[in-house]
Amino acid sequence: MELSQDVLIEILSRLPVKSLIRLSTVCKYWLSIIRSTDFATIHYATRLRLLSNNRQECDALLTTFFPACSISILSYDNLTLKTAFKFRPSAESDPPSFGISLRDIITDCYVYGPCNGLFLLQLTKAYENVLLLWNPATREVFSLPDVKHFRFFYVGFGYDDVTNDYKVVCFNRTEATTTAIVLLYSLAANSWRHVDAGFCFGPGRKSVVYGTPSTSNGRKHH
Amino acid sequence: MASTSTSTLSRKLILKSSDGEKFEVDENVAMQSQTIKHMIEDLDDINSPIPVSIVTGTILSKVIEYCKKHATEDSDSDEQLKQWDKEYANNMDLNTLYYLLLAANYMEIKGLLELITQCVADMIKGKSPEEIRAHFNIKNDFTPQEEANIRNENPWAFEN
Repeated sequence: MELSQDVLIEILSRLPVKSLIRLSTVCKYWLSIIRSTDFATIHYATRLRLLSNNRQECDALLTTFFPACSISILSYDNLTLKTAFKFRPSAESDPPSFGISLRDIITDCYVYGPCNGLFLLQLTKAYENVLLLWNPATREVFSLPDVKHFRFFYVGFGYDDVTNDYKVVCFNRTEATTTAIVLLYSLAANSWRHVDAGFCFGPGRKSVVYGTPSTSNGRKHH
Repeated sequence: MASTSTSTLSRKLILKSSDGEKFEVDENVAMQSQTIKHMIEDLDDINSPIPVSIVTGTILSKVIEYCKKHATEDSDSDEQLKQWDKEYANNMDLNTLYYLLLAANYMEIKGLLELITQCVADMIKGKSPEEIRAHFNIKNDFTPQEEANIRNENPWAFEN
């Protein structure tokens, strides 16, 4: 039995990520298909279409903060809670968790997204910030560089389909000035760059009301 | 304008399988296949058999069974049709599913292709790589070390 590439992709794109990772050990050809970026795009679209037809299979993302310091996924299938992401290791033997240790006190946690299945997590520990890109399906976590001393007023992220890149935008300000500092991060370049803001924050501490990007692939124009 | 047939609804087509078996079907049944639809447009004589060259008689009869069910606009509700689809696919072994898949792909019958791919996907979802290799007759071309490396990258996916 030999399946044509089209048919094989059509079948594989219907499977959950866990099955796909297991099946990537079938042979080199299947591995190359499953790992390709084209397949990732097709898979995401197919799963989204299938899941929207069958709401019962959908999972809900819940954030819990204290005392578990974790984000959980509630599965409607059997109404169980699964820990999807831990902010810090629960025991010394756990793998290091993105520069956060047992002793750190985490004071804030925000979850942004999803965007193409990815979430952006913003954590604050002892006045330091941590920004993580998180793929709950593959359990991959990527910590954005150089964000320790950012003081965020606003963070957002999206996917730029022209450059096939994920971008994070961050509106920042210093103590001394009200001028907004806008920084744009590119995952492909793995670096931040300054963008002309052209506006000021008013005096005093402002609370900013914002919406989180849903599955929209809004491009960040600047 | 001269008309040879009394009604376009009752027009019959003859489909011929790769092993020479002939099937007479209503036009609206056959038209669910985009491939046949295009072939008819190019056909001078509607009465000559239409070759479905890569599909055997056994498989073609199953394809026609599906198309007949989905061509009739009778009282079946969506729910009943879904149930019918489910039973239709569940009665096939993997071998038949495989040839139906090829047929649906070649004949461009979107609904059937969708049904069978989902059915195959459900079948392989919980299977181990070893079982998949046996089913599809795939040779494992990884060295044991390469295979172990992939497992170690995502050990959670290999837990039950």
